[in-house]
Amino acid sequence: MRSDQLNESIIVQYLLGELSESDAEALDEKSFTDDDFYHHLQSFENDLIDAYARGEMSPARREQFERSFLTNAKQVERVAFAKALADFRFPESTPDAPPTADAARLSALRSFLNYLRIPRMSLQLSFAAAAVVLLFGFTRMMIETSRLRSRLNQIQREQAALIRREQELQAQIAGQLTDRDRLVEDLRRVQAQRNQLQLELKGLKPVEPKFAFLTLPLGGRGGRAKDFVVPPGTKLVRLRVPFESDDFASYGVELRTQTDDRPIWSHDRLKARTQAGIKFIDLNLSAALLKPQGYLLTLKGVTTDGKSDDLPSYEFRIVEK
Amino acid sequence: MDKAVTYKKDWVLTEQAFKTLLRWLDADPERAGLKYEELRRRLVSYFNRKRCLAPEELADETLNRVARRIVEDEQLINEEPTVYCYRVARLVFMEDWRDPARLQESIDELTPSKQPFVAPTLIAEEDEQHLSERRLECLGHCIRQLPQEKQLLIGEYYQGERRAKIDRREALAARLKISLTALRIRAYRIREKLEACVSKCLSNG
Repeated sequence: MRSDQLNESIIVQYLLGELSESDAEALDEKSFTDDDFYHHLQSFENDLIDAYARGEMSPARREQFERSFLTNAKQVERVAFAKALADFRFPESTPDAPPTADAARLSALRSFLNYLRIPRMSLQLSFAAAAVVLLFGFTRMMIETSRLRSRLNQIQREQAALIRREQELQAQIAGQLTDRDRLVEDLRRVQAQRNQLQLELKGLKPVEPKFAFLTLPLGGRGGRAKDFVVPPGTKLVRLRVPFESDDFASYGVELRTQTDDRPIWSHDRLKARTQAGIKFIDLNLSAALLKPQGYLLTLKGVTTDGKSDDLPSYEFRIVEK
Repeated sequence: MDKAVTYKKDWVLTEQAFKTLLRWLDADPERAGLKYEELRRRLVSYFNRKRCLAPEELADETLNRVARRIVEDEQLINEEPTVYCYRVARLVFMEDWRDPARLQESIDELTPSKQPFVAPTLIAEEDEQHLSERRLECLGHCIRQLPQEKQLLIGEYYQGERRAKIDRREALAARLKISLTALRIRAYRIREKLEACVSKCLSNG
């Protein structure tokens, strides 16, 4: 049992006269010297009386209570008051509170008659007080309504100003968008003009050859060295080497620089072609290989059994334009 | 106790003696009056718990004896007033317990409130019915005289039955942010006022 339940149990025993004499005397003195205990005691006593008045006691407890409490007219009156309190219907009472048998006997008409039995002056004062309260409430309501209406008008004015500002901003944005579009269009036009100009410029500039065709003179080294110009931008040079000789199975070619006799290119097993009775071999050389300087090209024929014969050699120069 | 207080039937509480008693309770007259009333209530409550037939008379007897002692020699009392009053009350109770007829009067001279105890079931049904209705009317009148918040508190405190009533009281205490004990004391004080009001209303007819 919790301590507060234990205390409650002891107090109930004390009130019903069930404690020992010494224990009861201690609580007797405490009821005088301890204010909190005294008030606690009185409230517990009221609870006991209420329980008895409402019929919430067991038969044994009920008998004990009657023996201990109903000892004088004052105590009897307290019980009667408790019954009245149990029967009374408070204004804010909950609807689920079950009416007691005594409360059922008190009809609505009797309640109305009870109310009329109150002295008329009190009734008049009550009505006057109610009228004052109503008038005060009405006045406050009117003042509040006026204040709210004023505030509503202010809000509506602010709202209209905000709408106008929003429209101005939208117009500015629209204008800026138009400017932006116009600028974009101008940019496109300028770009198109530039492209056109570039195309025209391209048309005016000579096309840089990428392919050069050089033919060495017939007769080879015996003749004068030929100067060739390889145009800038040329990527590939076809060097035609004409010669007169017997037919060989294949031909070999070697290209050397004249200044330091350095071989820069060679190729074997080349096939010759014939045009108008003249044999020739076409060599495809990278233009980067042919720097402006003199070169010596040697030609040899290779028989089927691998034997080679020297054929005429050629001298030529690549010169700058 | 310092000296046994003997009962003297011919001693009467005079106005001077009463003022001396009040001054002994508290130097401030207003506080002294409140303390006197509180002390008397506790004495009545004490004698009721002791199952005395006339608790109010015994309470007055106790206070008379205390006043007489103070008049004789206040310096002889070296206890707190509440403690001293209790000791005198205990003595009065013991005397009453030994001789309950000592304070009884002729039944013909008794006022209705002092009539010997009779079991409620023996009271005439008709009289009880009328008295109950009058009591209920007086209770309604007295409740309506209370401030609004006290009406609501007492109404909420006594609503419901058994467990539902306990639950309502706990919820009420929580709503008022006070302990259940504090709520019980508040309700008890309001009820005490109502009881006194109803008693007065009934006696006014």
